[in-house]
Amino acid sequence: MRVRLNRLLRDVFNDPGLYITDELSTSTYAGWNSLAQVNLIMALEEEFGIQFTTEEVTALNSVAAIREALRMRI
Amino acid sequence: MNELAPKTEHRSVEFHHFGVMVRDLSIAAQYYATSLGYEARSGIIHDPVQGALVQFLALPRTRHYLELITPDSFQSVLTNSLKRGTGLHHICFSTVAIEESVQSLRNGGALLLQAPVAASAFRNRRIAWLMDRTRTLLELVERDGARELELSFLTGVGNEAGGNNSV
Repeated sequence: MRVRLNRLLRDVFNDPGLYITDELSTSTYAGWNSLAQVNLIMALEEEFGIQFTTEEVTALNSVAAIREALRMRI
Repeated sequence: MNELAPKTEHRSVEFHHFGVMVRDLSIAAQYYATSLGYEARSGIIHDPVQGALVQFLALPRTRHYLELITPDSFQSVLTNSLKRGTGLHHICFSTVAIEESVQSLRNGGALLLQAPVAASAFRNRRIAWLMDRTRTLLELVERDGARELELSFLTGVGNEAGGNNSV
Protein backbone atom coordinates (compact mmCIF):
# COMPACT_ATOMS: atom_id res chain seq x y z
CA MET A 1 0.00 0.00 0.00
CA ARG A 2 2.81 2.41 0.87
CA VAL A 3 4.40 2.08 -2.57
CA ARG A 4 1.08 2.59 -4.37
CA LEU A 5 0.23 5.58 -2.21
CA ASN A 6 3.62 7.24 -2.64
CA ARG A 7 3.46 6.78 -6.41
CA LEU A 8 -0.05 8.22 -6.45
CA LEU A 9 0.98 11.25 -4.37
CA ARG A 10 3.91 12.03 -6.66
CA ASP A 11 1.64 11.69 -9.70
CA VAL A 12 -1.13 13.90 -8.31
CA PHE A 13 1.28 16.60 -7.15
CA ASN A 14 3.30 16.21 -10.35
CA ASP A 15 6.44 16.08 -8.25
CA PRO A 16 8.49 12.93 -9.07
CA GLY A 17 11.12 13.74 -6.44
CA LEU A 18 8.70 14.46 -3.62
CA TYR A 19 10.00 13.16 -0.28
CA ILE A 20 7.00 11.62 1.41
CA THR A 21 6.62 11.28 5.15
CA ASP A 22 3.58 11.02 7.40
CA GLU A 23 4.06 14.70 8.23
CA LEU A 24 3.48 15.83 4.63
CA SER A 25 0.24 17.83 4.73
CA THR A 26 -1.72 20.75 3.36
CA SER A 27 0.14 22.90 5.89
CA THR A 28 3.67 21.77 4.99
CA TYR A 29 3.47 21.41 1.21
CA ALA A 30 2.40 24.34 -0.98
CA GLY A 31 1.48 22.07 -3.88
CA TRP A 32 -1.28 20.49 -1.78
CA ASN A 33 -3.88 23.16 -2.52
CA SER A 34 -7.65 22.80 -2.80
CA LEU A 35 -7.54 21.77 -6.43
CA ALA A 36 -4.82 19.17 -5.72
CA GLN A 37 -6.94 17.90 -2.82
CA VAL A 38 -9.87 17.20 -5.16
CA ASN A 39 -7.58 15.39 -7.60
CA LEU A 40 -5.95 13.47 -4.74
CA ILE A 41 -9.21 12.20 -3.25
CA MET A 42 -10.51 11.15 -6.66
CA ALA A 43 -7.23 9.40 -7.45
CA LEU A 44 -7.31 7.58 -4.10
CA GLU A 45 -10.89 6.40 -4.71
CA GLU A 46 -9.99 5.18 -8.19
CA GLU A 47 -6.70 3.53 -7.18
CA PHE A 48 -8.03 1.71 -4.12
CA GLY A 49 -11.64 1.18 -5.24
CA ILE A 50 -13.13 2.91 -2.22
CA GLN A 51 -15.43 5.84 -1.45
CA PHE A 52 -14.74 8.37 1.25
CA THR A 53 -17.53 10.17 3.06
CA THR A 54 -17.70 13.97 2.90
CA GLU A 55 -16.55 14.11 6.54
CA GLU A 56 -13.56 11.89 5.79
CA VAL A 57 -12.57 13.99 2.78
CA THR A 58 -12.34 17.08 4.96
CA ALA A 59 -10.04 15.25 7.39
CA LEU A 60 -7.71 13.78 4.76
CA ASN A 61 -5.26 16.66 4.91
CA SER A 62 -2.05 14.78 5.68
CA VAL A 63 -0.29 11.63 4.59
CA ALA A 64 -0.75 10.23 8.09
CA ALA A 65 -4.51 10.74 7.90
CA ILE A 66 -4.66 9.16 4.45
CA ARG A 67 -2.64 6.13 5.55
CA GLU A 68 -4.93 5.65 8.55
CA ALA A 69 -8.06 5.96 6.42
CA LEU A 70 -6.70 3.44 3.93
CA ARG A 71 -5.69 1.04 6.71
CA MET A 72 -9.28 1.06 7.95
CA ARG A 73 -10.68 0.38 4.47
CA ILE A 74 -8.27 -2.11 2.95
CA MET B 1 -30.38 -1.64 -29.12
CA ASN B 2 -29.51 1.65 -27.49
CA GLU B 3 -26.75 0.80 -25.04
CA LEU B 4 -26.90 4.35 -23.68
CA ALA B 5 -30.58 4.13 -22.77
CA PRO B 6 -30.92 5.82 -19.37
CA LYS B 7 -31.94 3.95 -16.28
CA THR B 8 -35.43 4.83 -15.07
CA GLU B 9 -34.12 6.92 -12.17
CA HIS B 10 -32.19 9.20 -14.54
CA ARG B 11 -35.16 10.21 -16.66
CA SER B 12 -35.89 13.22 -14.50
CA VAL B 13 -32.41 14.63 -15.13
CA GLU B 14 -32.29 17.53 -17.58
CA PHE B 15 -29.55 19.83 -18.76
CA HIS B 16 -30.15 23.26 -17.22
CA HIS B 17 -27.20 25.58 -17.86
CA PHE B 18 -23.48 25.94 -18.25
CA GLY B 19 -21.59 28.39 -16.11
CA VAL B 20 -18.89 30.69 -17.41
CA MET B 21 -16.50 32.54 -15.12
CA VAL B 22 -16.06 36.17 -16.13
CA ARG B 23 -14.42 39.26 -14.71
CA ASP B 24 -17.30 41.64 -15.48
CA LEU B 25 -20.91 40.50 -15.82
CA SER B 26 -22.13 43.39 -17.94
CA ILE B 27 -19.22 43.26 -20.38
CA ALA B 28 -19.63 39.50 -20.76
CA ALA B 29 -23.41 39.76 -21.20
CA GLN B 30 -22.95 42.35 -23.90
CA TYR B 31 -20.39 40.13 -25.62
CA TYR B 32 -22.73 37.11 -25.74
CA ALA B 33 -25.63 39.30 -26.87
CA THR B 34 -23.68 40.89 -29.67
CA SER B 35 -21.76 37.82 -30.80
CA LEU B 36 -24.37 35.06 -30.51
CA GLY B 37 -27.74 36.68 -29.89
CA TYR B 38 -28.11 35.80 -26.21
CA GLU B 39 -30.80 37.60 -24.23
CA ALA B 40 -30.85 38.28 -20.48
CA ARG B 41 -33.20 36.00 -18.58
CA SER B 42 -32.49 37.44 -15.15
CA GLY B 43 -31.06 40.45 -13.48
CA ILE B 44 -27.87 40.18 -11.46
CA ILE B 45 -28.43 37.76 -8.59
CA HIS B 46 -26.33 37.75 -5.44
CA ASP B 47 -25.72 34.30 -3.99
CA PRO B 48 -24.00 34.82 -0.63
CA VAL B 49 -23.67 31.08 0.01
CA GLN B 50 -21.60 30.64 -3.13
CA GLY B 51 -19.97 34.07 -2.81
CA ALA B 52 -21.10 34.88 -6.32
CA LEU B 53 -22.84 37.40 -8.50
CA VAL B 54 -24.53 35.65 -11.41
CA GLN B 55 -26.71 36.47 -14.39
CA PHE B 56 -28.61 34.06 -16.63
CA LEU B 57 -28.75 34.49 -20.40
CA ALA B 58 -30.40 32.33 -23.05
CA LEU B 59 -30.74 32.07 -26.77
CA PRO B 60 -34.25 32.77 -28.08
CA ARG B 61 -36.53 29.71 -28.11
CA THR B 62 -34.19 27.60 -26.01
CA ARG B 63 -34.84 26.10 -22.57
CA HIS B 64 -31.32 26.03 -21.27
CA TYR B 65 -29.17 28.85 -20.04
CA LEU B 66 -25.75 30.40 -19.87
CA GLU B 67 -24.85 31.52 -16.34
CA LEU B 68 -22.30 34.28 -16.06
CA ILE B 69 -20.42 34.09 -12.76
CA THR B 70 -18.08 36.41 -10.93
CA PRO B 71 -16.93 36.54 -7.28
CA ASP B 72 -18.96 38.86 -5.04
CA SER B 73 -15.83 39.99 -3.19
CA PHE B 74 -12.11 39.41 -2.96
CA GLN B 75 -12.77 37.03 -0.05
CA SER B 76 -15.06 34.82 -2.17
CA VAL B 77 -13.94 31.23 -2.71
CA LEU B 78 -14.51 31.95 -6.40
CA THR B 79 -11.67 34.48 -6.42
CA ASN B 80 -9.12 31.67 -6.66
CA SER B 81 -11.09 30.16 -9.52
CA LEU B 82 -11.07 33.47 -11.34
CA LYS B 83 -7.31 33.77 -10.77
CA ARG B 84 -6.93 30.48 -12.69
CA GLY B 85 -8.71 32.10 -15.58
CA THR B 86 -12.04 32.92 -17.16
CA GLY B 87 -14.10 30.53 -19.27
CA LEU B 88 -16.18 27.38 -18.83
CA HIS B 89 -16.63 26.75 -15.11
CA HIS B 90 -19.33 24.09 -14.69
CA ILE B 91 -22.28 22.25 -16.20
CA CYS B 92 -25.61 22.14 -14.37
CA PHE B 93 -28.36 19.53 -14.50
CA SER B 94 -31.76 19.75 -12.85
CA THR B 95 -33.22 16.73 -11.13
CA VAL B 96 -36.33 15.91 -9.13
CA ALA B 97 -34.34 13.61 -6.83
CA ILE B 98 -31.12 15.32 -5.87
CA GLU B 99 -29.93 12.76 -3.30
CA GLU B 100 -30.38 9.91 -5.77
CA SER B 101 -28.59 11.86 -8.50
CA VAL B 102 -25.72 12.65 -6.13
CA GLN B 103 -25.40 8.99 -5.15
CA SER B 104 -25.57 7.86 -8.76
CA LEU B 105 -22.73 10.23 -9.66
CA ARG B 106 -20.78 9.10 -6.58
CA ASN B 107 -21.20 5.49 -7.66
CA GLY B 108 -19.74 6.50 -11.02
CA GLY B 109 -16.64 7.93 -9.35
CA ALA B 110 -17.56 11.60 -8.98
CA LEU B 111 -16.47 13.39 -5.82
CA LEU B 112 -19.05 15.26 -3.76
CA LEU B 113 -17.74 18.75 -3.09
CA GLN B 114 -20.89 20.27 -1.62
CA ALA B 115 -23.79 18.26 -0.26
CA PRO B 116 -27.25 19.59 -1.17
CA VAL B 117 -27.73 23.10 0.25
CA ALA B 118 -30.27 25.87 -0.37
CA ALA B 119 -29.19 28.35 -3.06
CA SER B 120 -30.57 31.84 -3.31
CA ALA B 121 -29.87 31.89 -7.07
CA PHE B 122 -32.55 29.19 -7.34
CA ARG B 123 -35.13 30.50 -4.88
CA ASN B 124 -33.58 28.38 -2.18
CA ARG B 125 -33.94 25.18 -4.16
CA ARG B 126 -31.16 22.85 -3.10
CA ILE B 127 -28.01 22.53 -5.16
CA ALA B 128 -25.04 20.18 -4.93
CA TRP B 129 -21.57 20.31 -6.45
CA LEU B 130 -19.49 17.39 -7.68
CA MET B 131 -16.30 16.85 -9.65
CA ASP B 132 -16.77 14.02 -12.13
CA ARG B 133 -14.13 11.61 -13.35
CA THR B 134 -13.35 13.77 -16.38
CA ARG B 135 -12.58 16.58 -13.87
CA THR B 136 -15.65 18.50 -15.03
CA LEU B 137 -17.34 20.50 -12.28
CA LEU B 138 -21.01 19.52 -12.07
CA GLU B 139 -23.85 21.35 -10.37
CA LEU B 140 -27.16 19.69 -9.57
CA VAL B 141 -30.26 21.77 -8.85
CA GLU B 142 -33.40 20.32 -7.39
CA ARG B 143 -36.52 20.63 -9.52
CA ASP B 144 -40.01 20.61 -8.05
CA GLY B 145 -41.65 17.54 -9.61
CA ALA B 146 -42.62 18.13 -13.21
CA ARG B 147 -42.27 21.89 -12.84
CA GLU B 148 -39.43 23.27 -14.89
CA LEU B 149 -36.85 25.67 -13.56
CA GLU B 150 -37.90 28.42 -15.91
CA LEU B 151 -35.87 31.57 -15.37
CA SER B 152 -39.07 33.64 -15.28
CA PHE B 153 -39.60 31.81 -11.99
CA LEU B 154 -36.25 33.02 -10.78
CA THR B 155 -36.06 36.51 -12.22
CA GLY B 156 -35.96 39.23 -9.64
CA VAL B 157 -35.02 36.98 -6.71
CA GLY B 158 -32.25 38.79 -4.87
CA ASN B 159 -32.03 40.98 -7.94
CA GLU B 160 -29.53 43.72 -7.26
CA ALA B 161 -30.06 45.16 -10.73
CA GLY B 162 -33.59 46.17 -9.85
CA GLY B 163 -35.19 43.76 -12.29
CA ASN B 164 -33.55 45.25 -15.34
CA ASN B 165 -33.09 42.25 -17.62
CA SER B 166 -31.80 44.07 -20.65
CA VAL B 167 -28.25 43.24 -21.70
